[in-house]
Amino acid sequence: MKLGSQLNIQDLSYSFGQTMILDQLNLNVKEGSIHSLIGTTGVGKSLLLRLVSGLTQMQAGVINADTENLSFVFQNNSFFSWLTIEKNLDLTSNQKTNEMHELIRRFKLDEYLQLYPKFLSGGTVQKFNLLRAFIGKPKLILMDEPYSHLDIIQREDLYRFTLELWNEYKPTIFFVTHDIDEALYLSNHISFLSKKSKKVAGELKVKDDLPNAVLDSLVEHRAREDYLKQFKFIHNWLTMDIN
Amino acid sequence: MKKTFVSLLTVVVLWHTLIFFNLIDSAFFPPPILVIKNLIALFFEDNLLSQLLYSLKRLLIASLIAVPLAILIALLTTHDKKIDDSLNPIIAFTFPLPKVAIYPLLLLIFGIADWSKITLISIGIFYIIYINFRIAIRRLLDSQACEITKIYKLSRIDYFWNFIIKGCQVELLTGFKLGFNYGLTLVVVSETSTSNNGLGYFIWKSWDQFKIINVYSGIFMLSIIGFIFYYIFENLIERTRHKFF
Repeated sequence: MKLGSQLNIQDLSYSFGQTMILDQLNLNVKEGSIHSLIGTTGVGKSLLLRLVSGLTQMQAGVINADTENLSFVFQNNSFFSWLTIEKNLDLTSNQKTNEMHELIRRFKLDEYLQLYPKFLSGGTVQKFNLLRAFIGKPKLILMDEPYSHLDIIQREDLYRFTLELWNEYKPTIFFVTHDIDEALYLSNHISFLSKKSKKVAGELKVKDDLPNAVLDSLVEHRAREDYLKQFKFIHNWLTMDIN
Repeated sequence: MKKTFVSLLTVVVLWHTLIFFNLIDSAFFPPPILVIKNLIALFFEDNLLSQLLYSLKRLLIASLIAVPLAILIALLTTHDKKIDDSLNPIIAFTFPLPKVAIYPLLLLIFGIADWSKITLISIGIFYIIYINFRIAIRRLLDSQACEITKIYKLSRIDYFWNFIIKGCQVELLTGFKLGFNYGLTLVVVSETSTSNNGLGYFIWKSWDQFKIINVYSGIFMLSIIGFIFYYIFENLIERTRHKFF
């Protein structure tokens, strides 16, 4: 079952004054896939997400995306600090409170509901950020380096959490990261945004689908390492290209 | 609270000491204990309570006009550039004016009855709440929280209540704290002339009749009201800050 929607970007350009950030960028994200965009800091990864979501107005190009049916996971805590977690989720769940409570129960997150975001650890807040993005089954989920400020243990936990949520109905996830291992591990497809050409300079298919074996092995760090070894050459290539 | 009383008590003790050693004239600086005794007598036996109620009524009506208006205009100017471009220069031009300076004008327009006083007090409260609220909304609109409202398409009611009002509650409470205390000042100023009731009138009349102790009692009454406002809002601000910021 794939409920995700396609994302198609054509000749997208964007500049800040005289500085060109994106230059005639083309990208196609297949429905129901987890597609990562890798690039160095300042290359315009987050800008691209903002353009897709409509948070930043486009200057040139075409973006075909179901903007009415998307959600966004920000890098940092994006909950209203003045409301409890439950109230935050209620506000953004668009009347899907039953679905929300079912997810919360399943992932045993009930105990945090009445707390204000400041009392939660970074990992738990990000877990709720991810959970919020899946409530209401949006077809396209945009993620802006959602794991970047977490330690490795929290990251592993959230990788599993994300994949479990994704596995529910397979929405399209388009996420940007500068962590190549993370991208290789989580995605079906990877695109590389080049700082020099200001467009997608490389694209590769990692795997067609995420098999359950991979999902199961996520808990085991060793298995994850073994899995990543298969892509060592891609890792090297991307590292070289980024640098 | 304990520290507040200790500092107030220090002032009272110092005052009494200065009188005791004849360093100040008790005719012009009556001992605080006598002022309090006189205040209690005036409050229960004379008509100080009714004077206080007149003043509070003016402050209340002025607040009921100024607060929603300040909130509405701050919302409009922060959300609509055209409205901001047309209203903000007027507000920026009139804000630095001492509000008391326009009182004669208000007397001309509204007459010497209550509305000229209420308008003066409203104007004073309006600016303080408007400026505080406007800064708070701008901060909120620049934050990532605002992007959440766009991504998840919050309803207008949720946007207004759960995002704007609750997100700006510390600044709003600060505006209320400053606004009501400034409003109280304007109540007294407006009552000192063209009035035959209110605390301002009482203080001025006592001065006219050279009842110095009554002047002090009136001032003391004002301080108590100001202190109550200040203390309530200060407490609310601190509670709000510690709760979730």
